[in-house]
Amino acid sequence: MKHLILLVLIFVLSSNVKLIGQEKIFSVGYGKTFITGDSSTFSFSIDLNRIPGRSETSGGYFINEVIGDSQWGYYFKPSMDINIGSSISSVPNNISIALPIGLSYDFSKLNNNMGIISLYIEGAPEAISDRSFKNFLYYFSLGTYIKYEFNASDFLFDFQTGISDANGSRNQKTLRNDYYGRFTIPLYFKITGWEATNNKNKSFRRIQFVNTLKYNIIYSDDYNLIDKKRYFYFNSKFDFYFTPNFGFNVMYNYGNEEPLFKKNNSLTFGITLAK
Amino acid sequence: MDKKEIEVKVKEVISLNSRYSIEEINPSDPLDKFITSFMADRLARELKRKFDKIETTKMTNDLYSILKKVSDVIDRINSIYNK
Repeated sequence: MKHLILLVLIFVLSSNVKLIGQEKIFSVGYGKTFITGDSSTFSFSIDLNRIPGRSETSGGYFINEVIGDSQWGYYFKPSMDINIGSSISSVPNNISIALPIGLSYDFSKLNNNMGIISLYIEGAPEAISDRSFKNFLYYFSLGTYIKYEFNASDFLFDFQTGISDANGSRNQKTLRNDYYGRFTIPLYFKITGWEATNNKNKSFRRIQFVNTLKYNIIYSDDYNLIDKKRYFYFNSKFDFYFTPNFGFNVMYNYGNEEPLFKKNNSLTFGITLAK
Repeated sequence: MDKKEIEVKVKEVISLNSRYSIEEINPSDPLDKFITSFMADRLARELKRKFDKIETTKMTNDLYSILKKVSDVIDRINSIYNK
C-alpha cells in the first residue's frame, strides 16, 4: 500500500511539473534479457527532465535566467526519473529525484559553423531508490559539464560530457547506514535525422539515436552489497517517430547502475509517447 | 520595437546559434531545423540578451513545449512588446 501511495505521488508530481511546460517522454517495452535467461521482460520508464550529465532529453525549468549582460546564467531544474522492469537484469530499476541548481555559460558560435558549446556547473541533492523502496541512496552531487550541438543540413548531433562527484549515504532499512561516495564521467550523444517536414505535415517522420555511457568509480559504499569499485553503464535507444508524439523504439541496456549496481544486459522493443 | 524589427532580431539570434545565415531562416521554418530542444535553455537565454522584456524561464519552457516554429517565437515576443 505504501508503495502504491508513493507511485501515485510520483504521478501527481509529474502532472504538476507539466504545468510549467515540461516535456514528458513515456516509454513501455517488451524484451529479452541475456543474463538470467528470462524469455520475456517488461520495462517502463518516464523521462521528466534533462539535466547535464544525464541521459534525459526533455525540458522543465523552475528557473533559467541570465546574469546581467554577461554570457553567464543560472538555473534550477527539479527532475524525476522512473526506470522499472519486470526483471532486475532488464533495466536499472530505479526511481530518482534530484534538485539541481547551477550556473551556465554560453560560448560564442564556433568558427566555420562548427557548432555551439555551453558550460554548466551544478550541485544537486539527489535521492535514488530501488523499485522495492528498501534500498536508498541520498547524496549531494557536484559536477561540471559541457554541451555541444552541431547542426548539419540533414541531421543534428548533440554531445555532452563532464565530471561529477557525489557524497552521501546508503540506507538499507534494516542495516546501518553506509557512507557513499562516487565519481562519475558521463558521455552522452544523440543524433536526430530525417526531419524532412514539420509536424503540420502528415508526412512527418524522424529518427533519434540516443546513447549514454557512464563510468562510475565507487570510492565508498557497503562492499557487501556491491562487488566492484568501478562500473560501466551503457544505454542505447533508437526511436522511429511516425508523428511528433508517437514512435517505436529499440533499447539496449548493458552494465551496472545505481542504486544496486546489478548487472543489466537486455534488449527491449517498445513504444514511445513524447509530448 | 515593431514586429518587423523583432523578426530581424529573432533571426539574428537563431543565426548566431546555428549554421544558418539570417537569409536562410524563414518564419515558417520549424525551430528544430536550427537548434534542438537539447539547447532550448541556451536559446532562451540568448533571446533574453536581445529582448530584455521577456521572461527567460517561461520562454525556456515554452520552447520545449509550444513554440515550434520561428514565427511562434516572433509572435510571442511581439505580444510582449506590442500589447
